[in-house]
Amino acid sequence: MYKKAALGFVLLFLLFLSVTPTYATEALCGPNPVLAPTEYCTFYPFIKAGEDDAIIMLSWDALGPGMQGIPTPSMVGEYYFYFKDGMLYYLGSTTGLEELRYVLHDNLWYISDGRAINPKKLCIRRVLMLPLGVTRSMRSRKYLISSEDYPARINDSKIYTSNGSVSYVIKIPSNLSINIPDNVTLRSVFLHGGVLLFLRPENSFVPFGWENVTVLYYDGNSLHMLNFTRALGSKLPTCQGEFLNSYPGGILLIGIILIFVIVYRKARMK
Amino acid sequence: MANFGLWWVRWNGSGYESRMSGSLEQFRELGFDYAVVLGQPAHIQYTGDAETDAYNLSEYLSVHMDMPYYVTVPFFTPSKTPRGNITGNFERSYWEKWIDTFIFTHSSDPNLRGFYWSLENAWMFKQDQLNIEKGISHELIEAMSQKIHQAGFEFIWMPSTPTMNIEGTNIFPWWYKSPNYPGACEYFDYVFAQPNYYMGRINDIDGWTLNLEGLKLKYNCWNVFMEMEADECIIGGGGNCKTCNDSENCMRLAGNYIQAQINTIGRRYFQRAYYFGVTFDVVRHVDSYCRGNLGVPYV
Repeated sequence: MYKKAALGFVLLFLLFLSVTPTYATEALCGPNPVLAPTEYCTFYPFIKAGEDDAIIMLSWDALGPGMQGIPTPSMVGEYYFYFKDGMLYYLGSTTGLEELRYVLHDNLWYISDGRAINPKKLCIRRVLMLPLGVTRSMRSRKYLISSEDYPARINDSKIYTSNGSVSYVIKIPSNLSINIPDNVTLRSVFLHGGVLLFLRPENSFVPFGWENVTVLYYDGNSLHMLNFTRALGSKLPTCQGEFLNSYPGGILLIGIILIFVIVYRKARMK
Repeated sequence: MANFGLWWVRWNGSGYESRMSGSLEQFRELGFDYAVVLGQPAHIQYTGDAETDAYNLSEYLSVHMDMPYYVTVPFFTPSKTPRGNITGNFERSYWEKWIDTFIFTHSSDPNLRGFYWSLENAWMFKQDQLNIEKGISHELIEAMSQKIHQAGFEFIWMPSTPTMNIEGTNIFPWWYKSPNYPGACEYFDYVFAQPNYYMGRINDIDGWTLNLEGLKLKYNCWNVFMEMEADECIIGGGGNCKTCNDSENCMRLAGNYIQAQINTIGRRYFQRAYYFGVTFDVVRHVDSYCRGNLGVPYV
């Protein structure tokens, strides 16, 4: 009887493995949201600044009415973009508990899915092994997905923001309109030579769809609106010819593999 | 084997009252073994003082609840903000005081069996995991669970889970991808996941149930079950059915929860929770449908 039960469980598990990739009718937020009629999306941007670049995460909840009448998530997820010199590059997206973490280390952005961005060469590539310090940092309770942000306000077609040591008064060009809906605030993250300004809903119940996501870049001279929809089709090129120089973890792994091959061959020759 | 039925109450400004269409005796006759007492955020008194709020509800329940029940641990205030500091400690929080009031003030109420965590967010730990200092921590729920269990009570949860990616919720642990997180199934005695299939938020209840069973096996979380869902759309009233103006279809959708269990494990779950609005006739109609079409009772 126990054998039958065990066999049943194994069959159930195998069946489960065979069906798990088919995610039907998922609620998804984005430029073309897939939602049930009673659901809506709310986006929540997070910006982690590097030197004069940043990784921008657009976190989202698809919300619908819960049984107690409170908006309740039916799915959550994130979009990730790399920002440099006024340009956005799409890094990917995640849903559910899956998430990407990213750490700036030795002038490279390491991403937890095993990629590294070289900001100087403006390229990305796979890494065989993340440096130990990077992995520790990503797993730490002190890991932060965003840099400190500061309040910004609009008055007389100008944006005022300060981080205590640097202040900006930014003129809004006539061709740019910035609408700040109710329960949404304007925040800023400072780069070395400029500032990123973004709208953030005050809580996760505020309807704030993809079309509401607003991030602006001020480079010290002019203000630009970043276009995330266009950026979804823009990816960083793959880095060429810098594997051994840039990724000590990879060298270590190759070394270990070589040692195993040598030991195996010697053992066979005996 | 136990059936948990949701029992809705309302604070009317001076006292609590039932929102249900019938009596507790009729509720028991429908087949429910336990009442899960809860209310919408505006229907659970909020003065800011947890002891006052909990005392008034516990007084009402000790007089009126003549059957075993689980009582809500209310998460939201009437203005939809958390009642306690979600990033703080459980000790001395609103929620600890609420639970203490029930445990110590009415420890003599033999019908109080446990507590129901009223937040329905299946990703309730996610924001804390992202370290954005906004989310509920594992530590808060763990401490709440310990407090409840040490006092000899049970702790239950009914998260809204309208996704085929159930593994990517906080119900189950997150082991295989770094960083690792504990699952909420470790803290609760029973988790009744809401498929929200009746509301049209997923379309494949069979696949969802199979998925749930696979994850229970994978993570050894045998305390996770399904919440049945139906409401007044079935009897021609208003509600959240995907096709509320088509009560026949709503009935079929409600019955498909039972069919999915039979298709997946060959029988109904031994533990089941039921959301059916506040009208007992909803349960009676779906029961009649299930007996006639599936050969088993609904409850």
